[in-house]
Amino acid sequence: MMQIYKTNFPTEQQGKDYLLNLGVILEVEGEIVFAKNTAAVVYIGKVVEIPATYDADGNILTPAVYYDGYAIDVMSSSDLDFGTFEVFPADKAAHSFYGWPKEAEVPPIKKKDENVKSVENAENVKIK
Amino acid sequence: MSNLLDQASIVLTPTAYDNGKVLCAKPTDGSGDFDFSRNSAATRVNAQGLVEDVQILSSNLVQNGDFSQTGSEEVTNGSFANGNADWTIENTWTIGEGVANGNGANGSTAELKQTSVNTIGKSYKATFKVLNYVSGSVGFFRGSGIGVTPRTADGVYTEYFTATSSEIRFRGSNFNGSITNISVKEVGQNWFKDANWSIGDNVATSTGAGRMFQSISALEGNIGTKVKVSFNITEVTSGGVKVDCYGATSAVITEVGTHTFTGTTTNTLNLYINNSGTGNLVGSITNISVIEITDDTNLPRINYEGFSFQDALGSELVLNGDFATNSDWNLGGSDTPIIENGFLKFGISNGTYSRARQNNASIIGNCKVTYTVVNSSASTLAIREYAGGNNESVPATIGTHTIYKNFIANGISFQAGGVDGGILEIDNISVREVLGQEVVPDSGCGNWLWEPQSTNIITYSEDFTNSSWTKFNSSITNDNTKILGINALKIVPDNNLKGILKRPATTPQDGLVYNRSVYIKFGGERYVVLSAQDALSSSRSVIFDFTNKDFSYQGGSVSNLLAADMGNEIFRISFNSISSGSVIDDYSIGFSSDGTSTSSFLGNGVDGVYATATQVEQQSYATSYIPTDGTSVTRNQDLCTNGGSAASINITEGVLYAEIAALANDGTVRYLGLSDGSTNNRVIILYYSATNKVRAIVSSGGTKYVDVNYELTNILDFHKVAIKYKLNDFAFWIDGVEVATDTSLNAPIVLDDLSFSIGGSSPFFGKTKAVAVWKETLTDTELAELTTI
Repeated sequence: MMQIYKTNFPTEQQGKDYLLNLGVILEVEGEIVFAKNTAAVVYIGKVVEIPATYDADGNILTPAVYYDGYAIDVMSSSDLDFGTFEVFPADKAAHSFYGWPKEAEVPPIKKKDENVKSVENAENVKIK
Repeated sequence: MSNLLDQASIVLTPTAYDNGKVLCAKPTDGSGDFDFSRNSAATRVNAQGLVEDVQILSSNLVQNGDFSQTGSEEVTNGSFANGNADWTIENTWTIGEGVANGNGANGSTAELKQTSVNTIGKSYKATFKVLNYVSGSVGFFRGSGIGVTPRTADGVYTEYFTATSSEIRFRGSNFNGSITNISVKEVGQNWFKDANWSIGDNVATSTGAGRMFQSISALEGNIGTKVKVSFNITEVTSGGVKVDCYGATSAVITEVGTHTFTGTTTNTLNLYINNSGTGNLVGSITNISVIEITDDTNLPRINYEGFSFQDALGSELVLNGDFATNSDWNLGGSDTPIIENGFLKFGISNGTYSRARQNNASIIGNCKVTYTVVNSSASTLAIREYAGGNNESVPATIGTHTIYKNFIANGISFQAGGVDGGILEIDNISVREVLGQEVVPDSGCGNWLWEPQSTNIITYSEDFTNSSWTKFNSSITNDNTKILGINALKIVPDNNLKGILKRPATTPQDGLVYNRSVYIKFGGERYVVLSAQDALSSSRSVIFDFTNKDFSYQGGSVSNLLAADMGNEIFRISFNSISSGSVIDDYSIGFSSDGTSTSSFLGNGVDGVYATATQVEQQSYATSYIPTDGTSVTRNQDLCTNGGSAASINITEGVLYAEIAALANDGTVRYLGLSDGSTNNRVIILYYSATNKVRAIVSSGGTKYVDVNYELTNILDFHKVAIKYKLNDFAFWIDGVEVATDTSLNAPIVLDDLSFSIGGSSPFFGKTKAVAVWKETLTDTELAELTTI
């Protein structure tokens, strides 16, 4: 069963290194390829928080403002642990896979009670 | 060729597939079928030339959803060709010379009627022609309690009615004139209607409470089917429309326009319009469509291209072009022609002139004129525009002739005579406006389309009304135009202003090549400007000329510029530019006044361009369209592997054949062939880093014995490629020519897999019309035949 993971890393390189370490992507003869269970890796990059504004002639008045970090989406049939790099934008996602709802992502751990301190601290227990 | 394929152990053609499977024509037991994965939806161009999501499984399941279907003729002797046969007439009517004549008197009901025409409760479309009108009125009786609409002038009239009896009747009131060509045909077939519904001119009209419904057999026994339902409300006085498609329901919609919803069927009932007291529409609806869709994300794509085109024609503009009646044509000249026995007949005396004309305001603009000369001893015939337009000589020889003529006056005249004698008989005159060019359905050729993963970073690829598109001095209008089946909006620059539409800020990777593409259709402005901010200059613009179908540039040329002509003034424009992270506003659609400048343009508030399917992707070429609606969207890579088997592949000798085309000269390695799942044992064809080159490799036991390549004119075109392999006997054939041989070959040790990759790596992204494998080598003659284009 394919699962969609949405992640946000401090930098692009950190993201790629993490994917290599996790075995999502492989380096074969100097080329980066998908692992067998990987259906897609999408390097989204920076996500716009506030769009740019323009004057009447189309010139930029204020440039766009981006969220921190570098976003990468992964579709895989493997259970993957992205730790605190995993994010859960749900219907506010900036990217989706064609034919899938934009909120089609591995959901965050549900808070069963107050003993669960935070979503981030419960990353290793995923609900599929 | 067919005999050769009979001998093959594996044959793959673009014919059959299932979710997750690409099915071979041979072997037929399924042992050779391929596994296929993509795990996302994708679009293709279907056999009708339309862009569609492959998850759409069906055509429109609704029958007669646009209410345009008409049945067979129900009236007998409607042209009175057989006198008064089949008609019952009161004494105010007389029948003769193909018409029923009213004498101006008033009878009891003054009826002209025919029995056993209608089926009570069914809907019909009645047409009749009034001619030779002098006075009084005549009208068609649509049923008790429904007023007869009096007709008081010559003309062809149409009325829709729901039958309350089996008779049809015409009622005159001191009518002095004639009627003929009476026709009644059933409409609204396939629909069951309560009394409030009636069928009109390609619409269904409701007067309040009550339902209309239809049974769809494909949905009867398939609860849980995902459906996409759409309909067009054309008029609302009060109430609204609620559609219930086997349990998948819409809200009550009260607004005029096209509406679409998706849902899942939950029962086995019917497709209802306003069931169970809902909606209560006072208004009209049409274009009701139900399409079955699936959540399957591993559906291979058979993509069609190479279509033929034909004229897209408007409706018939000539009346009585088959000369069924002696009417509609104004016959004159010193040697006046006649209409007789279904033909227009000129008897031409030397030095005389005769003509048959129609003064018809609709005959104007670029038209296609066809006519058939059935008998001729004349050498001259001309078509002239009425009201003093241009005269043009046209063929007078026996046969059907077609000419194209730009009519600037209102009407057409066929003229004969002047220089020679003889006779000339004409039939089946047709004049139809040429609206453009359209795809001839099923004229294209299908191929398997395997593409790499790609992401469209335009977040609203079709909806330019969204605020993420910035409209400078321009407006967006929607007149329901479609481009290849996709909704298209019109970008209209404001009057006396330089209008432009710009994409929102996005995040392309600095310094990488991005391809930008868009489907456009002529909307009144000749020059359309597509601009990209580019790392090589502050702005690069492509100015496309709809008239000459060519380009000019501003800010430097762009790479890989293509304009795919899709017919009917539709083009897919695509080009590459290198993104600059410091300039993020990198996509806009504007206009030019002269085809060279982008600064001097001023709009008129009316003309513009239709556009849709905007796409920006990190590729060096445009891939298939990826629709977006609020996010960037990724279509995953196509992966077709694990075909064939040890039983259908011979390790000691054989032939691998493929008819393939590349998607691009992008320098990537793309494998297709036989292997053991590794590069140790393989017989493969590949595209690679060299431009326009195709390559063949044979390895055995980890040793590469043959590695040859050949330069093609263009790898984007289809080529037929074959590898013959056997101990000390290798040959590489392309397009009927043996381009390489080798006599030191060791045959592979293990070959049990036919894939569009090797072990899932370096997938073959390209187009494939055929792949075949033989377990024995073929002769040079056979290989030449096999690979000749």
